[in-house]
Amino acid sequence: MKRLLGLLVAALLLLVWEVAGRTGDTGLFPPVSDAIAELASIDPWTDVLPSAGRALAGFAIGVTLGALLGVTIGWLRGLEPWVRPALEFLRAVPPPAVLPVAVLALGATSGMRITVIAAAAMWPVLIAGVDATRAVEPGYLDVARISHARPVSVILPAVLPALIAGARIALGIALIMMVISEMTAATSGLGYLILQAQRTYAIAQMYAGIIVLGLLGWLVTAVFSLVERHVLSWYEDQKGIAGG
Amino acid sequence: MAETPLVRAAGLGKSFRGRRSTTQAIADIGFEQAPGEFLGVVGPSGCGKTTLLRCLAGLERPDTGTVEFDGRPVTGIPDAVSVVFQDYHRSLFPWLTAGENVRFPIRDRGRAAGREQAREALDRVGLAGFADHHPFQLSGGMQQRVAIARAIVSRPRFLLMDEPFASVDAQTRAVLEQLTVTITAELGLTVLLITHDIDEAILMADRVLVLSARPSRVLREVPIDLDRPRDEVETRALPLFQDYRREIHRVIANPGTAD
Ligand SMILES: Nc1ncnc2c1ncn2[C@@H]1O[C@H](COP(=O)(O)OP(=O)(O)O)[C@@H](O)[C@H]1O
Ligand SMILES: [Mg+2]
Repeated sequence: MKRLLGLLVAALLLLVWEVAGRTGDTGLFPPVSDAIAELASIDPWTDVLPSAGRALAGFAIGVTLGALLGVTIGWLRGLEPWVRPALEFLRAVPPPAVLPVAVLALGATSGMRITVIAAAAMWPVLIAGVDATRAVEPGYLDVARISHARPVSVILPAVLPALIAGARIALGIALIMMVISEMTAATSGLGYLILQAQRTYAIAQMYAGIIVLGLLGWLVTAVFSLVERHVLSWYEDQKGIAGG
Repeated sequence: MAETPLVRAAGLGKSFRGRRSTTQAIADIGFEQAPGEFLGVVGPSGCGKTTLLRCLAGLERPDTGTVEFDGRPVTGIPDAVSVVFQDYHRSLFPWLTAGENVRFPIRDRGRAAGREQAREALDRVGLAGFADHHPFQLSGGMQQRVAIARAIVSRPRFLLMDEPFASVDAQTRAVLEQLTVTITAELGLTVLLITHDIDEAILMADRVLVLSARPSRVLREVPIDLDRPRDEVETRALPLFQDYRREIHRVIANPGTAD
């Protein structure tokens, strides 16, 4: 029932868009049917896939680096006073600001875009990793020691929920950075396509690009939720019980 | 004692250095424990019981004194030692099932053998059929049973228990006390049980070590000559039980007069 209502509202919004597009005469706001028709002009292989690939590669690298660094810094408490101020500063730099630097250093390459995405996506995981590792129940570590197990064998599962929560934020950041990185010094990709369509007044195609972006974001978030539910089934169940 | 002791502690002392002050947890603790003996350790809250246990288990290094296990000085964590920690909430892994938690200490043994041994340990604590439950799906008493199963699964020789029943209700507590005595006797385990509950110590132990307030030292050793099996109700009603209880209370209340 709730799902039905949600679909109804979405349909209503599309209808409003359609009507507004048909009645408007500025040419800047085409009806949704035009935008959907323009979807055909977007080639999944050359426009969407390279973008999505870069986003996922950057996301994967960023999350892995963030997890490794975060857990390491959190575990080696002695390290923290040395690196904390630097981390706080670097984290506070808005990621798009490093884009010009990256273009200078790495050129207008795919590798540059992946690097920028990874560098931005790393932070939420890294910060979550530091905090969660510092907060690992000392009792778990005692059990590991008394059982002659390596600390990492209890730290990783203990911090996994926090890392995954960080990764969820990182996913959004990765998509944003994907678009932004393709709007600078680019010749392909969804961000480039949208910018190019705007510059050439291919307004319907611009909206089509935005629709594809929305669908892409929705798809990766859905896949992420699936994986999350699978990996953290114990955590969800526990929360469910604790919550009543 | 004719037998050579399994555990020997001498002159143990341990302080914790904080930013501004230093807390001396234990001042001078020494005792011996024979193989198969069930030793109770009582003392007021905060007197350093957990610290003592951690030194005995090799989890903490004492500042002074020595711990010997089976004739060898304890420097790391001995293989044949296991611990039931004070708080099962903080020692069972929520991401593992009860069966997997129990299997954790023997995770290097083969999968089939490990599973069989874990099942057997769960059987012993009366949790047959709960192997696939996660800790948060079990009651507090059942979680503590899982912790006990995990502590015995590797067939240790020395079992250390830190106020294992402090956070379960009175009924469950009596049941778990019985269960622990039965299991450890069956397995021939040497047990050191820490508790702040004097009755519990008298009911379970062969001998009770009475510790002073912080910084702690041994005020008295009280051998408990009560027949086994002991009963929660009957044994408590015995005059001898009352005498032990009175003696230990007095020693704790007036440490100066301890002779
Ligand atoms: N890791 C630690 N760091 C600092 N102080 C500690 C630490 N562990 C214990 N203490 C202090 O040592 C004293 C004894 O603690 P503990 O051994 O836990 O007592 P008990 O188990 O008898 O309640 C307490 O005052 C406690 O605050
Ligand atoms: Mg304690």
